[in-house]
Amino acid sequence: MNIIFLTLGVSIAIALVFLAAFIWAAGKGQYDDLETPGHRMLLDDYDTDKKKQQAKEETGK
Amino acid sequence: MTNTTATRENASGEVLPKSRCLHCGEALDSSNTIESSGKLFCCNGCRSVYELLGALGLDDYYSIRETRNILKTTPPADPASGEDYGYLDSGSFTDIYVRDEKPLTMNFYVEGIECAACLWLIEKIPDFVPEIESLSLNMSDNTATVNFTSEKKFSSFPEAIKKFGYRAHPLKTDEDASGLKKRENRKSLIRLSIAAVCAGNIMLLSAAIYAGAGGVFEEQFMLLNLVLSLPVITYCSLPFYKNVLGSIRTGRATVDIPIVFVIFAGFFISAYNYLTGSPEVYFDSISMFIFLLLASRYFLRTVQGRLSDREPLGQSLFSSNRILVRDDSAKQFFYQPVESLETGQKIKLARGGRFPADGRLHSQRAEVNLSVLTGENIPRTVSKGEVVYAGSILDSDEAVLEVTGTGGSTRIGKILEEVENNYRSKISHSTYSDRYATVFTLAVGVIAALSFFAVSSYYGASEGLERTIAFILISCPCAFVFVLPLSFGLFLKSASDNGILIKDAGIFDKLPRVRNIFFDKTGTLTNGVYRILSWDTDSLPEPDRRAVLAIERESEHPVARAIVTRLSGEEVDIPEVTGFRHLYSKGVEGSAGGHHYSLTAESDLSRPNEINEIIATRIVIRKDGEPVSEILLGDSLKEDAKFVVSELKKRGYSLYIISGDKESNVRQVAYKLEIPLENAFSEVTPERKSEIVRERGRSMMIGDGLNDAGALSSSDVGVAIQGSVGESMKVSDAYILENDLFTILNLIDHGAVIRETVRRNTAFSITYNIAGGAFALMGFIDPLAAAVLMPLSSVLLIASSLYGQNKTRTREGAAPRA
Repeated sequence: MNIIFLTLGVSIAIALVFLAAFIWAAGKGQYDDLETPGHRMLLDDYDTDKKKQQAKEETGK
Repeated sequence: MTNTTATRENASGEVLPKSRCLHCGEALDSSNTIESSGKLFCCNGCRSVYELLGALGLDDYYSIRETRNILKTTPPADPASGEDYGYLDSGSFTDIYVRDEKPLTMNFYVEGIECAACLWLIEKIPDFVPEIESLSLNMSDNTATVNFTSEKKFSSFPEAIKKFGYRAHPLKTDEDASGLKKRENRKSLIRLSIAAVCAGNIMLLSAAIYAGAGGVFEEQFMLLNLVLSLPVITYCSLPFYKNVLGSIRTGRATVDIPIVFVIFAGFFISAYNYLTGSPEVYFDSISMFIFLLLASRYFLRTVQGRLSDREPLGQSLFSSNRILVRDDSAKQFFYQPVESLETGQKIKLARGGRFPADGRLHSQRAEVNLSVLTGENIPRTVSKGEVVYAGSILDSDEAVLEVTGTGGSTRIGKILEEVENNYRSKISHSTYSDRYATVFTLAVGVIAALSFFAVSSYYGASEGLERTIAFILISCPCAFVFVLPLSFGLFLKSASDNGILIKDAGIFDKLPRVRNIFFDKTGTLTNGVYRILSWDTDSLPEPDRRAVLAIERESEHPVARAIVTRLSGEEVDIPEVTGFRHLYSKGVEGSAGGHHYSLTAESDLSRPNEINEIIATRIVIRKDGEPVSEILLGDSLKEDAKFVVSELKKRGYSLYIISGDKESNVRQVAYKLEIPLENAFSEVTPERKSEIVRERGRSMMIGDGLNDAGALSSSDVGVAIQGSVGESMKVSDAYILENDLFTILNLIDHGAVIRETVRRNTAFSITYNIAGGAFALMGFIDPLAAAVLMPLSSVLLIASSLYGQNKTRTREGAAPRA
């Protein structure tokens, strides 16, 4: 049953890795604005759609 | 592209009127339609934005908006009006606004952002404004961070978005609190995450111990728990320690004192018990407690932040940051930051500008709108040498003022200082949870001391100590201290969904005590728009109409402008005007088309009128001395004013009107709303307004103007309504986002429900603590029981809070909409 100490160590190490990642992201300000990026993502999509359409039209000509 | 003539339906299936403005979606009728190459708009502003977007190839804006089902937006501000941002480019302003040299960064608060389409449009700006390197918009606090190219053309951003109908206010580096708040916010998020990781793992390990993991496992797991709880009681709990230190310094009890006591007692006793090998170890309860506490406070703060995020929206009195100052040696006017204005300097203002300082008029004559101090919108004529107060608006062409007082020494500056002081003393009142904590801590301390002696004398000192500690831990108001912020947060959120932003949860403490409700008149009970209420133009023969138009075009008075606007479209064959004369504060006269006309204000206002209209001025038109027509001008009551007032009366509140306006106007409003005349105060100065509110006590003040700021801050509950100036928003407890009064009823309902919820939670938590404490003293509570009881009580309290919140929802549903 001593293996439990190994798995325990591994699980805590993994937890710490994720914690570190979270702290890094929070420190970089990724949680400052939870509203805009959601919109921005959809708008990017819109722009690329538009470009594809334009490209199609151009080749169609 | 949008089809304007076909009937459209929005998501809720509501049929929209047939023709709408292509840009803003405003319903069009014959009076407001402008046609341009077959397209229909409501105003020139909308037309020019539409054409500009088309020209820049940005007309996708409309299809993005449509996919989000947004069919109506605010029409843009007239791009021709508004601020001239050229001053931003001059060297003396860079210190105040530029926050980063590399890249050159300036932050702006952007007004008018409504949806993703706005985001798309604004973030497209760098594509066609070469002076802007890049920019990003934050929709949660409406700020744009703009990076400029090395040309330092900072005016390019506000100028560019002005063309689209938005307004940008540059944010000064020193007064921009959002940066500080952001850092604070990130820190609490990090604290929360560490507490979550540690508490989660401690719970897992403890579960194994409770399940019966014995021997070496128990010992090692305990050690691990001890290690994992170290960051929780140190770094994560720092805010509590700071608060306690602060409260010791100010001598005021806060709820954090028992919290810190429990953290310390719990941790050190657990550590001691671990080292001596006794089973009473509470690492799990304590770290979970800290995590839940941090989480609920984080939530409450996020919700509370919504109002302060909006603060820059209220146009501050001194939002214009620069002023033309005369340099006597160069005999010219130069821009200078308002902050560096000195007495004796001569400043020049254009029409519509706000005086940034007290002073004496240097020009011959000016029309000055004093609404900031009086709430009355009709300008007063000021002659050379007379005093003009800071905050008043120039309503005639260019005027020069010699400065006699600036900043804090102006009349308005003194009022604002007083307002700030009022407000500070108001928010420092102890909150409900703090009072609860004080009583609670005292009670627990006394009982603990008594029972220690009682138990010790029966079972010996060590058993006495053990049970007393168990008692202190179990009677910690744990659930209460984190459920309270949580339920406040939930209510604040539901209020904000209903259009009420609340600055501080303490408002729910004061709302139920309110007995007297004070309304400002202009802009609160009324729409605050001075316009022609009735004028039968058809009864006036065409030549006379043209003569009146010709005469009124000579004047700059708002009445004259209203008349000119009403007669627009008749600008053909306008006769020449001779002998034009201002009859100061009465009207105008002149001759045109061979007749003499005079338009003068009459004092007799008793005219039959519409139920919602408040007649402020009656103008009689005389042709060669004979009255030929009559114009009624004034304001109108908000549509729901009557309903809300009668509803509030039904609930037993005493209602008052306090206004800086003339008696006749205030009396009309009081009469129409059936508010007793002795409760209607007219021609009240801002200083007197706050006195009246304070004298009555148990008050709620509802207002919008700067002249209400004093009353808002000295009332128990200050409510600023949509369109308020920044200074008023800053000192009020709640801000109503919609331009109606109905929301006031909503706010009061919210107050009643949350009071009920808090009482229920308090009662429950007291019962729980007494019962648990008694069991602990009798020696029935071990760590396992504590670990089960604590979350159980929390769940019950959370359920109770949610139940309360649902209740507000149903109440709102049942409330009739006027």
